[in-house]
Amino acid sequence: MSGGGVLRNWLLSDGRSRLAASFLLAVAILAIAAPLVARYSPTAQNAMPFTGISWDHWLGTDDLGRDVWARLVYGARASLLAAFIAVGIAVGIGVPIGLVAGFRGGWVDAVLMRIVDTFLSFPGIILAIAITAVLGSGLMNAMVAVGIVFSPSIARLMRGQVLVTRERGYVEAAVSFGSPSWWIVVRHIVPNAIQPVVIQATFMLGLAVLAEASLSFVGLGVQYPNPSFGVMLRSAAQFTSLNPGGVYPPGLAIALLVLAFNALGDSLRDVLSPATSTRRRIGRRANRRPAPNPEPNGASPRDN
Amino acid sequence: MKRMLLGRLAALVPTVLLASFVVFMLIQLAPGDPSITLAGENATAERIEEIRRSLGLDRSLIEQYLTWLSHAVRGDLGKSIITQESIAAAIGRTLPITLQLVFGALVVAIVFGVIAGVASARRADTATDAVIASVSSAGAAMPSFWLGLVLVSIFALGLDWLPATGFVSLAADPVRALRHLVLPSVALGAVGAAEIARQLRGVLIEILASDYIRTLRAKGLSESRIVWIHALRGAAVPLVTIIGLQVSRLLGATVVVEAVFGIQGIGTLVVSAANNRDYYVVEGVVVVMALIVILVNFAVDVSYRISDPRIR
Repeated sequence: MSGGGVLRNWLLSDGRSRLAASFLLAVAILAIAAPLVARYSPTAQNAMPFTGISWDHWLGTDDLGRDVWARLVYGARASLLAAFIAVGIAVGIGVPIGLVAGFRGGWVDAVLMRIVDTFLSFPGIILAIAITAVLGSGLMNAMVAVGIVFSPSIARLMRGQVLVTRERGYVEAAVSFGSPSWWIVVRHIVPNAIQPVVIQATFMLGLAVLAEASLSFVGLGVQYPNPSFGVMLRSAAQFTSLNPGGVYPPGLAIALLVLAFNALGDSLRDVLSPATSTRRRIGRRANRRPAPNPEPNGASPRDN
Repeated sequence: MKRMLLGRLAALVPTVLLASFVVFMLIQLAPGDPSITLAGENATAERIEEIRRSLGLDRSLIEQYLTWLSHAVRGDLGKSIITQESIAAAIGRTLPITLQLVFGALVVAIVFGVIAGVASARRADTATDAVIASVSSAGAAMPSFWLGLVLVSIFALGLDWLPATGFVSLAADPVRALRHLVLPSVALGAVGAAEIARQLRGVLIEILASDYIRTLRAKGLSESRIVWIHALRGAAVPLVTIIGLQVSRLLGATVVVEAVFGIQGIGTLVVSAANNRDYYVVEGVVVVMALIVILVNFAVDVSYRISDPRIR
């Protein structure tokens, strides 16, 4: 099926994915058009603190009298940008590593996967904090850290896919025709192995939104006075007794974004690789020795 | 069995060494020179050089790593550049607090997760199932620390039922400790409960359709006995794996949740160290956390080797 055909079928088949996709599109438009939809500067003091909801300030003002709606749409900008940067870095690091490990095999594979497993043994957010400590705080550095933390699972997934794809008849045919390795990788392996990575990357966008919020909340991500969902929660948290409603706008925004990315990932998985959709994968795992990394092809018999 | 245990344990050593090496090298990438920081302002070049030598910073990276490692295995992780406190002592002070929190969260995750998972598997594809599925996907999308803030604003500041911040050790005063533990445990455990419910549902549906359950039904056993005793025992192995993965996630998530509840655990320690660029503290905490995750994975691995003779 062509790419366009898959996309059309997917959006037509599933109400949930349509809802998630429209929501994400709306958020993206709001974020891009932030200067037009926000009537105030997100960093300037425009009114008294905690004015409450009014016609002038749709979501009220925060502890410094800044417009919450303006901060929310500019915050969406930071959060979405952060998510795409982090996942882009994760894919950019993870895909080549997985490709080389899976295609070359042997000691290259053994060494690379050993390193990948080492990175997987750190709790993600703690490793991200450590990397941010070294690089220095700030949105870009925090997202580089999150991207590095996410990359090992992409590498593992890609490697598993390459191992499977490498055994397919069309690859063997290309080898027997004497096609050069790079051509086989670019023409046959990558296009056929990449789908699960696309699905995983979609889920990771949600995780990256959460990671940005967490790191900014503890002061390591987006820096004062710029808005992001995490920064907004950080300042709302200091004034929960004065303004208990302050935690809802950024918190709900995070939860809805994550929910939308998860729904999109779920339905992408159902369309692109029905064999690994949640329900059936769990069913299969029940009868097998469960692997600590539950990806479909993580542990093939030819491992190492 | 003993040989298997020892063999698996020995296999952990390279993993732990590699993890510690990765963290050590990461910290070396940090800009700045701790000896200049320690020497303070207006220090002479000789004084800085003296501190460099006393810290061993004039030697090669491999030598420095081996020295650090030989101290680390004896429980000496160095001193904080900022507070001068021993890092091992700081971790020893904060880790039990974090572990108590993680334990509370695990209890919440397992109790609610198993009840919800069983309920939705028994009533698969009914309204109950759909409600549980929506609640758990919402739960999985919520940042733990935000849920914590919401719980504080409702149950602590609004209704005044539970304390908003602070921590009491379970050993010191169990009743007060539990009151302080409820909100952070629920905040942290909610995501885990959602994950356990979702995965357990899938596993149980598969098991409930299997032949031995059909035989048990034919023998006339009550449905709840079949589900709670026989089917759940069959689900034990995947369940332990899911719970093991949750421990690693919880150790990470607690970092931010501690900030919400003003709990002085290991998360607060590493966050303030990262903000102050107190690299050696960050290094010590990350290595200890990786060690805990590796040991938990080991325990999970061993437990399913014990419970399932086929994979021994």
